[in-house]
Amino acid sequence: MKVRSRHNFRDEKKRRIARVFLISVAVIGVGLLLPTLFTFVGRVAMYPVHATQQWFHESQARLPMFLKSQNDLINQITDLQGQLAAAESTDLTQKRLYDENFWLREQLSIDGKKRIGAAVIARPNEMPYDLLQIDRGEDDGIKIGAPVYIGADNVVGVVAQLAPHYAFVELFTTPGFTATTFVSGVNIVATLEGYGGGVARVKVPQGIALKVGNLVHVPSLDPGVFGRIEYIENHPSQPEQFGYITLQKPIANINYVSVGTDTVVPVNPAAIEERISRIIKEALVVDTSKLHLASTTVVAATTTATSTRP
Amino acid sequence: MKFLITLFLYFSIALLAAQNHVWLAAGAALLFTFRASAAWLIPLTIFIDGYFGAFYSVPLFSIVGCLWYGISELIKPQLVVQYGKAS
Repeated sequence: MKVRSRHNFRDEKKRRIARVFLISVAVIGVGLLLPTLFTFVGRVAMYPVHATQQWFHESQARLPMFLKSQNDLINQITDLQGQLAAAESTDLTQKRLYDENFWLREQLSIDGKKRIGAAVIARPNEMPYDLLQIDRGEDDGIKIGAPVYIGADNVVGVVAQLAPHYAFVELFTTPGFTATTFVSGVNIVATLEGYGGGVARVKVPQGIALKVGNLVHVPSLDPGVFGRIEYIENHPSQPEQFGYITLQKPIANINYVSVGTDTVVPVNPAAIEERISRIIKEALVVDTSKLHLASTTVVAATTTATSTRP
Repeated sequence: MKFLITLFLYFSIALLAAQNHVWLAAGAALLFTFRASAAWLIPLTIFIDGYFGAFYSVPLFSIVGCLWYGISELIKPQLVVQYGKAS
């Protein structure tokens, strides 16, 4: 009878380890020679693991949802937040470009008049009320007394003070500011006076059928529509009535303006009469090319009227 | 029961390795080595390498599996002797 000593047992064990090791190395070597076969066998053998993995990742059942690691969810939240931030950034860029495009389209509708585009860099409450600061100045060709427009024909004020790289615009609504205006609809010339706080008013005699919505033109500027009458103050016992006008856009909403290159020089009465006559003649003409802008102006005016009407 | 636990551990190693949780798989493999034998890990590592298509380049899991088998067979008797002495 053969007796297995401790020494023999160790030798046998070492031989077994060596045998398993060598067989494994041989199998790996065959695998390197036949990678396609081993890949196929590996994928077939690992199919249950693969199926479990898919179930774990994709199933909405309670157990996998419960077992999903917190890190996965945190990473997912981080990814989604990044995507959301990127989407918001894109949206912001698109909106900025849309606004700029719309503003440039408004400027394009000006016929043959050269204007200087400017951004508003300070407005009330940073400045005294009825005063704007724009980022274009003398070096850019701005002159004192030049009319300042919002959109194509909505004149809001004139350049009052000038520096090389900026200028101050005094709005028509400044207290004490006066201008001769023409109120279409009732077809009357009236004096516009600034009332302050973004409001101006025209003073007309009693008996004139002044209506809310009548356009107020500034004949000394061409084109020059200041706005619409938003409210009428009429006391029959008084000799005159007042039509109040606000800016077409709230001051806080004015981001861009365009400045005319011609200054508001004193115009002789004959020229004013001629422009008034032309306004009356053209009152019923609808320029289809400006229909889009006109409609947007009406919408803006309606919005302003709704929000400011007492 | 012991067999079932060992089987579950074996399957866990495959699952963790397939999910690229290599360190967790290594921990499970360590545990499995002392519950059963590292020899069973060699075919598993070959399958995992086949699953990942590692035989087209370097079958790292298989190589590590073979080495681990050799090392574990050398370490295990020492640990058993130490455990016996302590008790």
